[in-house]
Amino acid sequence: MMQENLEKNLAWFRVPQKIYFRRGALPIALRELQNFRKNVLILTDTEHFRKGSTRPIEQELFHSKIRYSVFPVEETLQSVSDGVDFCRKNAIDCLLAVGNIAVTAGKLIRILAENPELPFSELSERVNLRDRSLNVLHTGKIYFIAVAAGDFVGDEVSPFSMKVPLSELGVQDYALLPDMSVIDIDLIQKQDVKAVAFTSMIALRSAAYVFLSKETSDYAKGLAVHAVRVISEQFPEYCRNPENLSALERLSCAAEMASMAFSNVYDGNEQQLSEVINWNVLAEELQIPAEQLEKQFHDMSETANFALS
Amino acid sequence: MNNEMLVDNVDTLRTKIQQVRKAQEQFSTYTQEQVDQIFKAAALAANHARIPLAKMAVEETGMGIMEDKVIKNNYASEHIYNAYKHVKTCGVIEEDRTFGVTKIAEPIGLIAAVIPTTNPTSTAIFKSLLALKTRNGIIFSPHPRAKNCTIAAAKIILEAAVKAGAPEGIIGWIDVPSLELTNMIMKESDIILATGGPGMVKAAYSSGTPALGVGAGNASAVIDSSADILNAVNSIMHSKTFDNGMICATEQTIIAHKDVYEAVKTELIRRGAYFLNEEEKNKLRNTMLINGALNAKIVGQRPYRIAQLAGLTIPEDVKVLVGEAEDTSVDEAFAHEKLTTILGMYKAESFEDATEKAEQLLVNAGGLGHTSSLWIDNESPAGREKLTAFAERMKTCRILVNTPSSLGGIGDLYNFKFAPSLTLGCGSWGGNSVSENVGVKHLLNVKTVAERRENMLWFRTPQKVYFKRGCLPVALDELKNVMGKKRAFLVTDEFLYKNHFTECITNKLTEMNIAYTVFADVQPDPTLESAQKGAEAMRKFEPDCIIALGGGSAMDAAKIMWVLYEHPDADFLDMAMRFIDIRKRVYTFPNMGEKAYFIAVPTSSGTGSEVTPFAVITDQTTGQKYPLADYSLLPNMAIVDTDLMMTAPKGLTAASGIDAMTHALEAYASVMATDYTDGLAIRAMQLIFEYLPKAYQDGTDVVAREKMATASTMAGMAFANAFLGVCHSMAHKLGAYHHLPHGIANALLITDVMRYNACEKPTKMGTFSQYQYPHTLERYCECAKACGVTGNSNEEIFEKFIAKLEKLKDAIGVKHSIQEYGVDEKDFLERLDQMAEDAFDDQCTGANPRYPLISEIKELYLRNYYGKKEKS
Repeated sequence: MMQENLEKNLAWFRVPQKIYFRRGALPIALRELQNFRKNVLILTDTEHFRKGSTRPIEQELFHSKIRYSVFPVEETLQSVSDGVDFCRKNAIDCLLAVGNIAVTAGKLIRILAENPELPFSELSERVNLRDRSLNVLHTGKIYFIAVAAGDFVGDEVSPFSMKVPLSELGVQDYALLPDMSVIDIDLIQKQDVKAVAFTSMIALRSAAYVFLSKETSDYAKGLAVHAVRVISEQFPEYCRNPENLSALERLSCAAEMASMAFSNVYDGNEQQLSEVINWNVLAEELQIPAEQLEKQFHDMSETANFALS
Repeated sequence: MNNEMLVDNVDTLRTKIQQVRKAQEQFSTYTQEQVDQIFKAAALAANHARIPLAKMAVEETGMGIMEDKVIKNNYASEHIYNAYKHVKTCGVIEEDRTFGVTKIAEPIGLIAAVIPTTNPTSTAIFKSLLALKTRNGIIFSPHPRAKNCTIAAAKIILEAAVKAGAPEGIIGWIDVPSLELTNMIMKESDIILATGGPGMVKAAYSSGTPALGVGAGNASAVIDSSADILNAVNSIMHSKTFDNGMICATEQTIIAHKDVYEAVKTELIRRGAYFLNEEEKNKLRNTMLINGALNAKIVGQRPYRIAQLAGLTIPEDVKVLVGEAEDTSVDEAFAHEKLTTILGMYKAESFEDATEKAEQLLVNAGGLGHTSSLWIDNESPAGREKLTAFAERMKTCRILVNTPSSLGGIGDLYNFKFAPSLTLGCGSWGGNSVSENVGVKHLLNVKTVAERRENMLWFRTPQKVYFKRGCLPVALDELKNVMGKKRAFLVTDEFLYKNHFTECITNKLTEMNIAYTVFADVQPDPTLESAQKGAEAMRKFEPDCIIALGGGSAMDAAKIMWVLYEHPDADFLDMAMRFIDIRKRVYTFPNMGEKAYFIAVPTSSGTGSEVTPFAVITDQTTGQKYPLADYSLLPNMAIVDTDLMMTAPKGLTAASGIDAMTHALEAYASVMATDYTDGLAIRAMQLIFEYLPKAYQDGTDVVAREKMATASTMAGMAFANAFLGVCHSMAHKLGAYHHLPHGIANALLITDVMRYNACEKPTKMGTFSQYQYPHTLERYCECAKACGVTGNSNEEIFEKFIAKLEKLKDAIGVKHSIQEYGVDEKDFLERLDQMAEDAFDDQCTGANPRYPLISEIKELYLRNYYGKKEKS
């Protein structure tokens, strides 16, 4: 669909309808479910499930007297199928995905649960090989909330899902955009330098890609540049003092902004996190010398690699 | 410290108070574990002594039944312990790290406990256990008729507590009670637990010390025609005879529906009630009340004994005396609280009548606020309705259904979510400050620690934003192919319509077989009247999608029409009411999109209205402008097609372009700015600096036009989420009062407002948690640097940024003062005060980083009227 649109002279900017953030935002955002949705399925990966990371969410739903179940998922065919079955059998009207794996798997689960006439086994055939769109409609029956947790990469605001089982293709369709995204740093392991480093490096490379893409826009560039700006200021701050919540807050915003930008450019190929960075373009955008920028990146990578190792 | 000292006068009481306070000071440092250990030990000790204490009580007071008092003592220790054993009462009792709230419990200090003669040992046990659980000291003021058994109970608990680790002397008592000493302890304590008659309770509240008092009860047991007679009568008998009727919550009268009256009477007699005849009743009346007050001699006595006192002959095994009555006024003795084994009985014509009688008894003969009782089939729908009506009417703090009221009123025996207590609050009806069963929470000071947190913020845009030159027809495709729309309503202004701008849309609609109609009656500064006309037209046409084509006026008017079309009875004034916090506002905006999908297509660059939740409408009769702000007004789709903007004349290009710049600047400076809005705002500023002069010079420059369109929408997205500031507040009023185009009004004021905002020592700072200290100068410098401005200090960079903005204004022909636009000086000055106040009251003012005084706004207006630029 996207390829066709571009050929027909249309560009777009699409992000989730509601993006909520700031420390402590999650319980407040969840209150919007009162009188709106009755039967929530909380998806998360096995690690978060075991750690009990979803407990604050469960408490909030309990207080709002909204029924909920918790379901651990993996990025496998069986798991997605089980999830879809659960949704259909139990009249789930809201999916709440916590953490990266749950978010990317949940996007597929939602679309399949909403479209019962879409056989699971044929999903891979539906994927448009040119632009990896799915050509399905999001009917609105199941409200999808994506919550960032652990080491997230911004899929809370993107149209990307996990690889479709049996096809090895990641799907990229705006029908997969969550209805609501929540980024609450209380759910992101604070003082976990490794996780933050991972997220920031992915964000940097996503933002850099925006300047390499053929079909980029000022909307995407504006967000991408600012993301890079923020990361280059705040990442060293955070590494110096991992208890600096303000730096963590801004880094999380930057990561989402980079993902929003990355989600709205299109190059005809599967988006690649850029190994190659066009220093000159980026530096010009940021109004700093290219060598300075490259060094900054280099230093950050080293710190990150050190943290990641 | 002298434990054996007898407290019988003012001096000894003073010493005792000091002792207990000292002990309490120490006690206040104990941990929850230590306290709970003491609490348990005391409860156990009291329970072990339940029989001896009950015996003592009956012997000393001459009232009640020993075996029932045993239950009271057992209950006071066991049920109180059970209810509070896991309750946190020491130190941190609640902690919420997410919201940053911590609650810390501390004791109040010294409790003065006034003990009645009706339940001496059980009340003493109850109050001392509560005191121990809450780390308070307590001194008892016993009733003279019950002082020995009261003190005995207190001693047992004190010994057990100290043995378990409590400080010595944490519990004290007055050995020789007197009015003087009771008043003294009430005055000297930190809180009073007063159980007794209305006189004593009044004294407690008048002492000047906070009091938790109770009151007299006068419960009526209303028996409805649907009641289970066997259950009702036997429960009432059981309840009334418990300890010879000395619990204040007990039934004093029965009000039976006429349909079941005889059955009730029969069962009562069967189970041991004696119905008095006229003569007997009169004799009893004269004995029950002496000078209108309850005769102490009959309190807690068996019927045989009461009969003796009244000169009546009745069988020895009578359990309850019943006096049938009709009068519910204060003159009827049987209407009063009797605290003994006497019941009044009334016949009711209907349920309504029964309720009425029960109310009257409380009002006339005392007992308001205490307890009422109802016997009814509460499972049937009719029964539940009657129950609801009864509960709504009765002014008592306990309404017991199908429960014995003495044993039921004290809680946790016949209903298990009802707190167990021997001190039952009667609310304001009884002159009390508490309306529930008193427990540990009433004896604690709870401190709340609140740590700074920031408000949740958001980023919200229309679901679909399409752009690119020529994208309009492509984007409209979706109406048919994706959404299946059939009827479109176009809103635009006269000029655009007459100049065929709507054709690109209408042609496409025709192609897609979508029926449409056009409303082209929109004026600049759209009016409520015109919006109502549009809504009326919509109602007739019943569109399933609305397309707004034009500048801010058309899009705003269309948004209002959309609201009125989907919610004809929405109250306009309520919608337009000012708010501090959009998420906490009083008015809940109705959900939109239920009837029509809203598409906004801007033709200028621009107001950004295609991506904002705002609409401004003017009331044509008063000239008053109503800003509506709510995310329900966000269009579903925005289509930004440069082709529609190519022919904008110079004046419009300049005004709308500079408007977009002020959007970006104010969004960046706003107290609600976030990284999301900052990124978009900066980009917009960069684009405007580069391309606005070009678009102004050469309107055919496609790239310039496209970049301006993008900049306008991006700035729109920024301020849709971060809101604006005082420049827009002032521009709104300048436009309303003196008809300057919105963009020009902003242009004339913006640089001065920026200086005003950048002040490092502002008169007042904006109020918003994330805006911690004035740093708007820094913020403007961030914008400046991103736009290529360099310098050695913030001040220098800022000045150069201002200069750059002035240069931009010059390049697009903006004049240098309000006066130059033909605004009459006399008129301007005459209405300046009102205009400044109105600007202050504008919704945009709240997000300004510097909270303005009206005088400061006035000064800003004046300066820019004449064109003098001074540093503020």
